[in-house]
Amino acid sequence: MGQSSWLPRTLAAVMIAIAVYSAGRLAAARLWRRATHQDEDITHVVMGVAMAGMFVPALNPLPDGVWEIAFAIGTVWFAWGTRQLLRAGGGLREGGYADHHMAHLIHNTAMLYMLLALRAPASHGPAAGMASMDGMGAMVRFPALALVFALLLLGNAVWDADRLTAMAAAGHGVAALAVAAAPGRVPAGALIPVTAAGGGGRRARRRGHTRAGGRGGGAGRGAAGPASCRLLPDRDGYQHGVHADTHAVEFPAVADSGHETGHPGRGDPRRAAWAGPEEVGHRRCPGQRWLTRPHPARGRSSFRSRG
Amino acid sequence: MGAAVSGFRSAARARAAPAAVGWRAGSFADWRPLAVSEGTVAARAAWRQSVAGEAAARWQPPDRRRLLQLALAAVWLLDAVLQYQSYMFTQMFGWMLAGTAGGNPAVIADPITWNAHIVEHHSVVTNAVFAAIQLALALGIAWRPTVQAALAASIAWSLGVWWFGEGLGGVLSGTADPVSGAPGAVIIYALLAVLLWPVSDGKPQASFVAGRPLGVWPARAAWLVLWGSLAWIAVQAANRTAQGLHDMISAMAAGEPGWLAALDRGTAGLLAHRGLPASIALAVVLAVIAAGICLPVPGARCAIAFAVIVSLAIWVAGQNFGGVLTGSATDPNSGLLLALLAAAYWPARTPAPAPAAAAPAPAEPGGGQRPPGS
Repeated sequence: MGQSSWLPRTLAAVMIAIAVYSAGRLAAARLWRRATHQDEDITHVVMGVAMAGMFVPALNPLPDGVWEIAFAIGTVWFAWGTRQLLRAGGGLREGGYADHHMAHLIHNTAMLYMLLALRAPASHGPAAGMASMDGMGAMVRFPALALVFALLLLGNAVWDADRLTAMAAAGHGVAALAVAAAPGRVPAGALIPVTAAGGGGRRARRRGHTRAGGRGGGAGRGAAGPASCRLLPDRDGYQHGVHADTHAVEFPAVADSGHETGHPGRGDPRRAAWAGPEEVGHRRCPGQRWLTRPHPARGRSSFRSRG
Repeated sequence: MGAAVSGFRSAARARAAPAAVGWRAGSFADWRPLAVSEGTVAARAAWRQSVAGEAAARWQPPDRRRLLQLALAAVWLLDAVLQYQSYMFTQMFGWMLAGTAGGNPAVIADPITWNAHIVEHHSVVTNAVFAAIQLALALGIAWRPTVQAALAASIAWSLGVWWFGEGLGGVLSGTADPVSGAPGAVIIYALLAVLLWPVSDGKPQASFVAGRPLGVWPARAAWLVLWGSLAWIAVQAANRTAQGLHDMISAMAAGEPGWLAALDRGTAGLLAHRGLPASIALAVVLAVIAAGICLPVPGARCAIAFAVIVSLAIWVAGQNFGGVLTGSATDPNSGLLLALLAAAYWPARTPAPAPAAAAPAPAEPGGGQRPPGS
């Protein structure tokens, strides 16, 4: 890469931009009390800075050992998260949140591999591991594993690109859900529930969940409601709408009183109509924070936030 | 969309109500409470509802064809990543291209030499353009709204690279070998783009993905031509020498990791002084694969599975994953693509006939039930 220095610099700039963007998401979530996946955003910040340091050694702020520990922690964290979600029933094939954790598990493992596999000769100094991307005498351990990781990451990139149109569709759907439910005059400060006119109202109340449309998406029913769009667990959902997912939008199991869980209880008439953007597609997953909302009647937070 | 526009207009004509408070979701900047008029709220809701409904109705989870398209996109993306290697931004890339002109007729070789000269003297710009094009093709295939345009562009690009970058795969120069990548990996990209072309689901469908755009028999003909040509190339004079395969495989060990170099030396040792019988055996295997597509479904599946195994064996032992571990590879070579192509011919399971149905039609050899009109 020393013969084409503009390329690593360009890539380093892209990595820094990604890190800044992810840091901005964390800051916005804290300032505007929005839910976000802190574990993913933190991972993206760390990964962006680390990769910028790989491309341009002058940008590396920390010793190699620190990065290795960081990505080892990330690997363990997402491995645990994936295991928890798989045990909870969100299968990889279902497009549930487990596949998203798996993707980040692969990312962290790949970063850990790159740090451990790239070892410069001793004459380059102890901190030359991160500086060995310039190809000056670097030795790569287990290069076949690099090929495996490369194929996995390329496949992940292509898979995400395929789902872009679905995310855009669901984003419009979330907007329709939220806005369509406010045709009438509502008191200031009130929250706007989503109508369950898409056919899931009474059945949803009995079963305790609202089912998103099937493969047809429920299009053409002409009702604003969960049945008219596809709703996904909340990966990036609060910034770009929600992802498309054919699976049921489920409320977690709740007691009769909503106090313990932070959701409307079974007897609460708001439960069937409650599908605000933060709640739709919710699955509790590690690293997620729930939003608190001011109760329209009580004027205070009625649902606890959980980390 | 017309309904959405009319809905928007009708709602916009509603008399504005006193201000209401609502949430707007969907974009990062809009997550705040804002005061909007009731008419505006309703108008926006009607428009977004229409758009959401239409978009949601269009999007489907990927089926087999779409999964194969995504695999093709991943291979193009790997191509782009390999093109961004530092080696490609040097004059050596131009020299590599110039080397493909040897043995070809002048009408083929002269443009190759001309192109290689340009690349050699403007290596950074030209390689950046090549890599960007391949990256755009990959992302274009992966993103659904542009899949057709990207597949069409990939066909044109593949044909150009097959000429200017691979010298038509060495087919006319007599140096082609199935183990080394004949008839040129990039032409298989073009073939895959044709066979995975998105078609309307309303048309009668073949039981395998590759048969849907062109029909069952044209797709089988393409299979026959491809694998039959590989069998023919395997027994050409240049490939029948006693040490031909041995020398080719042993030369690949340079620059490879230790375990792969050991595999190369072991394979070369097996082929030492056995070039002729090895070539004949390879030709027989390839001919069986070619003909097997015309067998009934069980036989066709065996032939396709055999094709996948042979392709992957060639990719590993004969091509060393396309040489991607040496730092100077431009693509993963043909083995991986042949396996992907074989996957496109895998016949789907046919559903069981209904009990009240008439006498069942005879099973279509290699393709399940006969589609109407074919």
